Parts: sequence; C-alpha cells; structure tokens
Amino acid sequence: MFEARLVQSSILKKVLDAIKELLNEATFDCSDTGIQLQAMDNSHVSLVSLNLRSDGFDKYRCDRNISMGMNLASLAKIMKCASNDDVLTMKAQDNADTVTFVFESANQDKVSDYEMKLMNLDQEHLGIPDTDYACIVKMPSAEFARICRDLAQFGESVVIACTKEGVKFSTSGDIGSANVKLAQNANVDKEEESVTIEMQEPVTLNFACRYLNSFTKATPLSPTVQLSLSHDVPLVVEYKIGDIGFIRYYLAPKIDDEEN
Amino acid sequence: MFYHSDSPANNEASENSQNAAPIASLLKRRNMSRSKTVNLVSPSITEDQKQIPKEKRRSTPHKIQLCNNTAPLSPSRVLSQLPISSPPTEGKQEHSSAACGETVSSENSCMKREQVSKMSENRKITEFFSVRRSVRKTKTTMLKERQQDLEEAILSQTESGLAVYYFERKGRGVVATQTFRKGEFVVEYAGELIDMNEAKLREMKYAQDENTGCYMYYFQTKNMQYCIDATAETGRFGRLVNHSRNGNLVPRVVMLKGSPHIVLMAKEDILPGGEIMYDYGDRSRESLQYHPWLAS
Repeated sequence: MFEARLVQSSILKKVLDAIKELLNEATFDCSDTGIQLQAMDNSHVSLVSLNLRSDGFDKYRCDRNISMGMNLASLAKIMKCASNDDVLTMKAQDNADTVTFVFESANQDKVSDYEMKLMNLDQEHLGIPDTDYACIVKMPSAEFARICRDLAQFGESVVIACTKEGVKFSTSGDIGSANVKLAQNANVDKEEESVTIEMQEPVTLNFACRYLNSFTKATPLSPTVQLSLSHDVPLVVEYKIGDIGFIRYYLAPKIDDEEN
Repeated sequence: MFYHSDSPANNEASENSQNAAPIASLLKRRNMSRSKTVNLVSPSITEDQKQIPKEKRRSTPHKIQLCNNTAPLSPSRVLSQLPISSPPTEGKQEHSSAACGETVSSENSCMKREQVSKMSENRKITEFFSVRRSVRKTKTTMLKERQQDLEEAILSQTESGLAVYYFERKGRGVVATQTFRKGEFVVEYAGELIDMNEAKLREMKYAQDENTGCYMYYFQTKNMQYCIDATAETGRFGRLVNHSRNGNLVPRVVMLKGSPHIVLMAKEDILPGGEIMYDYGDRSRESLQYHPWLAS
C-alpha cells in the first residue's frame, strides 16, 4: 500500500509543469524514504532528477517499494482538475496497475478522485557521481529565467563564464550577439535576491539554450536557483521545493569548436 | 560525429554549412540542392561552372549551377522556386537525398532538420553518467531489505499458509497449505524470551509434570545465551513444528528492536501438504534416552 498526502496540491502541479516539457512519461519510484524520479529527455542530452522526501508530506506510507510509470500528459489532465488549495492524496495498492488521486476541497465539502492507469516504462537509471563543482552560483530564479528567455532570441547556445567577480551569459547568432553579466552581490535584506558565487577556479562552458529554457519552467517552485559548473561535466540547475525536496536538471555541455 | 566522412564532397558541404550563419546556410543548401536536381536532369552541361564562385563549386564538384542563383535569395523565393529539396547536406544524409530526392513541402520541415543537426553537436548526458544496466541491488541493500521483510513478518505475526494437523503417532504437527520457496520466512518460534537462570528454574518446574512437552528453545546470539519458552499453549504455530534431523526448515536468529527472535525459514521449496520440520539440535545422551525420536 502506498499513500501520500500533500496539503498543498499546488506543489505537485508545479513539479509537473517543471518536467512535462522535457519528458513525455516518467517513473515515480516510491519507497519509505520518499518519491524519486529520474529520467532523460528523448535526445538524452539532459536529465531530470526529482526528490520528494517522505517527511515533507503530511502523511506518508509506503509498505513496499513501488515504481509508478505515468504518462505526464495524462497526469497533467488530472492535476488540472485540482484547485490550488485542494488537499491531494495519492494512493496505490502494492502491485497495482493504477494510481488514484483524491482531491479534497479546503472546506471538505467536495471530494473528487481520479484513477489513472500506470505504464510499464523501460527506463534507464543513471548513476550520478558526487562531484566537487568548480563554481556554484546562486541567483534569483526569475532572473535566470529572464536571462535564458532573452538570450534564446539571439542564438541556440549560451556560453556561461563564471569568475570570482561574476557570471556572464553570452550568445551570438544571426542578428548579433548578447551578453548578460551578473556581479556577485550579497543583498543582506533579501537573501533570495542576492547573487552569490562560490568559486574554486573559473569555468567557461557552452550549453544549448533550448534546454535551459525548459529548466526554467521550474521557476515557480523556488525563488532561487543554484547552478553548479565544472569543466567538461554536465551543468546542474537545482531548484529547492520548499522543505520537501528538490528538482535537479543536468545538462551535457555542447561540443566546443576547438575540440571538434 | 558524422562530419568526419571520407568523401571530400561531404566534408566540404558540412564545413560550408557550419561556418555560415544558420539561415544563410539554409539558403545555400537550397541552392545546392536545386543545382543537383538540374544535374540529374541534364548531366552534360558544364560550361556554366566557370561562372560560379569558387567556394560554391568546391562544395559539390559535379554540379551545374545557374548563374543567376548565386545572389542570395529571399526565403520565400527559394520556396517558390524549389519544389524539390534535399535534406541538409551534412554527412550521412547526403546519399539518401541523392537517391530519392524527396519532396519537402514546407519551410518548417527544413527547420526541423536543421535543429536535429544542431542538436547532434551536443554531448549526451550518458557520456558523463553511466547507465545502471539493471536494477540489481548491492548485497548490503539486499540484506537490509531481507532484514526488513523479516522484521515485518515478525511484527505482523503472520502465520499464513500453515495449518495444524494431527498425526496418528506423534501428535500435532504443522503442514504447509501453500508453497514456500527456499529461503522464505515460514513461521516464527514465538514464545517468551527468558534468560538462562529463569530457564533453569522453569525446566525444574516443568520436569515435575510429565505431560509438559519440550518447548524450550535454547540459543546463543551475540555471546549471550537465551531461551524462548513456548510451553504455554498459545495459538501460534511455531511451537508445534515437529523435529526432524533433516527437516525442511532452518532456524535463524533475527534481532528486532534489540531483542532476539527465532524465525524458521524454508531450507528447500516446500509444497502444499508437506509437513514442516526442523532439527531441534538436541544430541545429548540424556535427551535421547527419554526422547528416542530426536535421533530420527
């Protein structure tokens, strides 16, 4: 038996919005530690890793580990039926081929439940090694989304260059080039508005803009975003999900021209 | 990367498209593909080549190019002029286009191809993170899970798949009503956990009454001697399991919340109807004298 109750059903809505552009379907692995999801996009360039800890739920029970393969478009249809202030309960029997979503309205006078067929997905799990990143940039998530959106107009790839002074996003394309520089600023008043950089050594990497833009669909989940970079390893874009978990996106760098 | 084709024509073509800005390269490609179409129709014309800029000629050596096409065209004009187009000239797609010269009806599909070729410049995430080939678990996780399953079985006091059966000669026994696979939990030897001093006292007490059977399970774990006394009649099945020197169960000690429990595990596959038995392990002469069945 699996049962997870979340008072803020909007969290799951936002999580879904954050992954459905990259993934068509995904497997939610439920264990007594929580719910995990790991999946690559179709082109195998990026990886989504979602973790929702069991203690973040208002009620959580998972007797046996179960893997629930879901079509995310179908899940989106179901989540659309929930109001933001509904209380959500996910339920599944052991070895079941369906999962049930129960939405209770805040004043308890409306209860709706939706049952969804599960899928058997042939998924590949990737082992993600622990890495000491050369640069870790924390910045407001809205700012990051804005930069990605703006630069996407100019070119297909973005060069992220990080030094002690700041971080620079640049791109060039048919109409010209664009550069956005952010200086490190520790805004004491509002921590979520500050840009902080922890740097071991400067890094310059080249990434496909398209994926970064897909990652920024997670912006509503968190006011800040953390970018971790090291030479010749995938970029990590991490959004915290309240005190319940996180969503991490890994993006493989583009092949540099010199290397080619 | 598929740029590294051996054919010089391919190399030229891909270089050409890489250096140019995307839209411009798209136009150039269209030009080339057009000239190729002409080429297919009338392969004998060669004079026009002289009027074509060098770079263009190098890119596809055998082509014929109409001279008025050398100026860049607007996208719409290209579309109107070119009913037939080949896929982007990079690498592996070259030969297929030459072979079938497939019709491309809209700007859109061409853009898609462009995107595909661009994407191939990206590394794959699998180059950095290795795929876990299977969902195999490490030994420690296996053991942990096993331990968890056992703890769960003990806590829930499950005794499913078993029934008490009265045997003519030896009295009560327990038979399986379902299949138990080798290594599976069958039943717990449930009783009261007592220390050795208490056990000695109780032994003396039980010895006074001949009708008391032997339900004292002595065992040692973590350098401590314990005894589980199941003499008291309970509904549990573990205490009713009979002895056999080569039974189909094997006892194991499981620590649960700091206190030891004895569980009986299947030593081999047990079929429904089969009596479950384990070795009581008592080989002392005195015991054998009073209980000759211990030898069998």
